Amino acid sequence: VRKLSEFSYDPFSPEAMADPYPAYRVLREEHPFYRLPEYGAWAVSRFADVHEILSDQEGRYTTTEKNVPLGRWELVVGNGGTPPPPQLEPLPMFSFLASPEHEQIRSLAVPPLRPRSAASLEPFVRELVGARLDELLGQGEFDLTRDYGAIVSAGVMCRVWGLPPERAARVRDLINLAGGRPDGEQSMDGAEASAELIGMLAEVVAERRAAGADGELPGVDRLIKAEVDGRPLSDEEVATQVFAIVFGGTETVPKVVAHGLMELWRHPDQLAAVRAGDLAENSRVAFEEMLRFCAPAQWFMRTATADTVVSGQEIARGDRLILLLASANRDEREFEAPERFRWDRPIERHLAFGHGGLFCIGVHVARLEGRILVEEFLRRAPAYEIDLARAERPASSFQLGYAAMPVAVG
Amino acid sequence: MKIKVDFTLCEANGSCVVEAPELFDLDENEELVVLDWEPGPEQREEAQAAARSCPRRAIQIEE
Repeated sequence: VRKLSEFSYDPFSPEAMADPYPAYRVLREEHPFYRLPEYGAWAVSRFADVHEILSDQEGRYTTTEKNVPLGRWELVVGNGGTPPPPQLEPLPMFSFLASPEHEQIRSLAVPPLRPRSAASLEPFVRELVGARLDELLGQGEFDLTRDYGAIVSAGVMCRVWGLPPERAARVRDLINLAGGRPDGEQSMDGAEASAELIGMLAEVVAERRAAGADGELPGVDRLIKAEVDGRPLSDEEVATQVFAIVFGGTETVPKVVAHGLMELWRHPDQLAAVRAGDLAENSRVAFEEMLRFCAPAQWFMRTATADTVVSGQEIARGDRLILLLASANRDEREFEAPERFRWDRPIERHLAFGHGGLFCIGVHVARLEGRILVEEFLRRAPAYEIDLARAERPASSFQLGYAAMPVAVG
Repeated sequence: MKIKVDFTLCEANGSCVVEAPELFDLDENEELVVLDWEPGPEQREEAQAAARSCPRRAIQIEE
């Protein structure tokens, strides 16, 4: 066993932000609960432990300190052993709330994302994907993340949340900026980009309110009509809830698809196998492995609300838990040869959508988009070459994904 | 054996319906319906699989 002094891990170190996977291997093997004293935190890296913590049904963990700290400056400030109560006015994104407001907001917003509602989007998604490919395949070279997946995922979010379809490219750009990845053409910072998108969504909310919020745009209308903590929500507060969903719904799927298509490209035997059978079904299966292997979200945080014990490790009230989902999805104890991409591996469960109270609210829409993006690309592109030298995976403590994945289609 | 569902957590993802279609269903409004609140011991495995599969941890099985 390596001595503790020879190994160190900090989710905000340049090494971890560029490539955390070698550190995850050591963490899983030797330090499944790795203490980060400066942050009052434990980094949790094994699948079973992360799953057990996310499975809690007793309220032992909260996200009122945020589930995604933006930087180390947010963690060097301690909580004195007591997680703070949720902020309720103005109401922040629901991911930072606690019971009962957290569940209330989710149940108000979820109807357009439920399984059958998501499935009803399939013709729309196929048409959107087809139209994108008509244009992009004509160009010969394009970017899988930016030009293909992100325009589709942003377009679907526009459709579900009432934004005009021609805003999709702007939504994509604002989300990229809000996620801290300026693309060089913009001078805006993340906070300004978030404010612009929330402003766009607040216009939709104001229009729906003026029109009576009769249920035609279910998620938005229900949030408008609700009372939360004994009062109705402002346009900005409703827009902030929708923003959280639009953010998650735009940012992630394109990176998973782009990375996944790159993995198929660099494993020609696997690409041939996917193409050989029922392409629709194989794309569905392959997208699940893409989620496990390529999902860019590295970790989410919880704060313990009580003293507890997980796998023999004592956790004190107020301790922060850095739950390394990207490590859990590569845990040798859960998956065979987990660091290998294998398109048709049997996957009983994975944590790309999280688990428990903050389980991805858009899971069915994400799976729909993912499998159609993969399927239609492979159907329409007889052969393709990825320009890996020009692919970009900007360093990040949170969303470590391919922001650029140039492809040439022949 | 008793099934308990926390309906403030349930978001009708339908995982339980896949695991235990004799115990759970979604209605026309995509709300969860429990078909049998007190299943017999022969359905223990399905019930437990349904509870395990719930991504929202909304189902508990009481012996």
